[in-house]
Amino acid sequence: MALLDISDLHLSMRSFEGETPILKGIDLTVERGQIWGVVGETGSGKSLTGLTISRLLPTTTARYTGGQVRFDGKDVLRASDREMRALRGGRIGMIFQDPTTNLNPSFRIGTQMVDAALHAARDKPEILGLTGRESRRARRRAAWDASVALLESFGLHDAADRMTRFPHEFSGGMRQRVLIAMAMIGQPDLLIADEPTTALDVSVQSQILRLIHRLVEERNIGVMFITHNLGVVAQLCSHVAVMYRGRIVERGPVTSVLKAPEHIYTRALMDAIPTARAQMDTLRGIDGPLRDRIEAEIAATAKEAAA
Amino acid sequence: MSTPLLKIEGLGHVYGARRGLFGTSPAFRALTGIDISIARGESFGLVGESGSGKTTLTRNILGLERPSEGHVLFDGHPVIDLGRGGERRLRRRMQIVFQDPQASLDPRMTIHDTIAEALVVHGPDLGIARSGYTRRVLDLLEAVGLGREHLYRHPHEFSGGQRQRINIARALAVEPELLILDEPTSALDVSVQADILNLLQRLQKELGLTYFFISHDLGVIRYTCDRVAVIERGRIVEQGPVAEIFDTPSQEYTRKLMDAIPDPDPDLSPLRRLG
Ligand SMILES: Nc1ncnc2c1ncn2[C@@H]1O[C@H](COP(=O)(O)OP(=O)(O)OP(=O)(O)O)[C@@H](O)[C@H]1O
Ligand SMILES: Nc1ncnc2c1ncn2[C@@H]1O[C@H](COP(=O)(O)OP(=O)(O)OP(=O)(O)O)[C@@H](O)[C@H]1O
Ligand SMILES: [Mg+2]
Ligand SMILES: [Mg+2]
Repeated sequence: MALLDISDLHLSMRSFEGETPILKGIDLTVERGQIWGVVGETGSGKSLTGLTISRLLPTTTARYTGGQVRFDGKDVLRASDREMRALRGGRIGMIFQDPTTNLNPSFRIGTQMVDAALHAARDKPEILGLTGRESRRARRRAAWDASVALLESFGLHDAADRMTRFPHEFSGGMRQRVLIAMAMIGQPDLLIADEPTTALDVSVQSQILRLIHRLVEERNIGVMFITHNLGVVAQLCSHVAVMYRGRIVERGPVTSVLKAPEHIYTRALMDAIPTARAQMDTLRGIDGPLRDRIEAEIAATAKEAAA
Repeated sequence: MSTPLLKIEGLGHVYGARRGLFGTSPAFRALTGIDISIARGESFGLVGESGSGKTTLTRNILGLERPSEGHVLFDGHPVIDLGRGGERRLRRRMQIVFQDPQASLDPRMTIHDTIAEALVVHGPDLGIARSGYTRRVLDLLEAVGLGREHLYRHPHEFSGGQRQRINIARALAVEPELLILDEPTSALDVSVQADILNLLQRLQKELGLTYFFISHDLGVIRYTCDRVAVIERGRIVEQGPVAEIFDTPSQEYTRKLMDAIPDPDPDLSPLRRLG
């Protein structure tokens, strides 16, 4: 059984202008030990796909019009709220794209980390080296120590002191590392990371990539890594899915997709990357004519599939 | 030699010790001895690790923080203690585009009102009458590649890339001379990023703008900037033309940043080779 199995997922979002189809038949399977990179246009539906897996979209605006999402066999779209709360932060770790929704400005970093650890430890006390019978104080102590150790391993120096600080005293990149640590502290089986390294400089980024890679090696977890950075995908991921306007237009092992992209949109993305090693005269974005060719290729593929 | 548009001399910044509800945070030195001089029409890049002081530096340039030592001169004038009118005039000549296009737009305002709001404040300085606002907003949208059908839409109806264009249009509305760009494209996919970088280059040619560009993406800096400064723990460790700094970095720190750039060729992945 696959760790994560999304099949033919259709999602519409409601607004006062009516209902807009956003996801138009997403199929994606993530096995343990795989790191899937999800790349694609801004607005193509990457974040909404990620949020669907832990069922975090508001029921007032999001309507699933077809397909299903299974996590370890469990039908996520039909699970109870209680089951979902236990999964989130427990077996499913999430890092959201918008950092401001993740950390509460009025609580110390340490308080927020410890709460995340204790939430995850309710079902899995062993992640803090506990049996579940310890006193409240002993549990908090263990959660604190585990948090400090994790932050240190993410390259945050003086983590014990940093834990007593408030979010505004951290730089953007430091806050981001805290968020990654919070998603990891529950030792999830599936990690969904939405642009987790975007705010980070390249050296911290490579440190984080090594950490995620090590977690996959050691604990055989599955990862869905949403990013705009094809370099990151090439370095970290085993597989990649390329999204364009609510569909996956190309997918496969990273070595084949990035070395020999077949879809015209994937090729356009590869052409648009600026490099630091050489001066470039022009960068090509996606202009009108190129967009027409992309649309034509997608239409042709759809026709083929229907025939 | 003419006056540089932006001159930063011996700038230091210390975040003060503060007593909070639960104890004291000790003082923290975020910047030391920063010297940067940017000529009119130049594109200047700033790169450095997380926590190295980049945002602190921009806040000092904008006059939002008071330097602990040294000073920031904009067109020869200090950016701090200007009084209300002076501050308003300075705000107009120096604009910033933030990293997160979503957070910096008011979700309840139409695009027209978002951009016109800046004109209400600065219109008198620019000699633009109220009746001319809509015309001007349309011109700006056109400059950033958005059609008039977008005029009365709200931010949530735009993609990330379009929102960033709106931010740029709003910053340009008041005819600034210096545009500070703090990671303006890191939230965007590479093709939209290419469009925005090209747009910025075109606008620079047409309007003679000066850019102060912060990015973690050294490729973006190479593509857009003439000169670059590398900042490490609050100090500038090297500074010079981009080609020179990136092709022959003199500092170990810069080399480390260069080597950490993930290459889009999967065969070059050290992680994969281990795995
Ligand atoms: N709450 C919402 N209500 C209505 N439409 C929405 C909502 N959230 C997102 N959308 C729309 O759904 C589409 C997909 O959004 P999503 O955030 O998944 O894009 P994305 O691929 O993550 O883009 P980016 O790379 O910019 O983060 C976009 O067109 C967006 O405008
Ligand atoms: N209000 C504050 N009080 C105390 N320390 C602060 C405050 N703001 C920032 N700092 C500290 O100053 C240092 C520089 O922070 P700054 O935000 O300038 O870094 P940055 O280079 O912009 O990093 P990033 O790339 O992660 O955004 C960091 O060590 C940070 O913890
Ligand atoms: Mg997104
Ligand atoms: Mg910053």
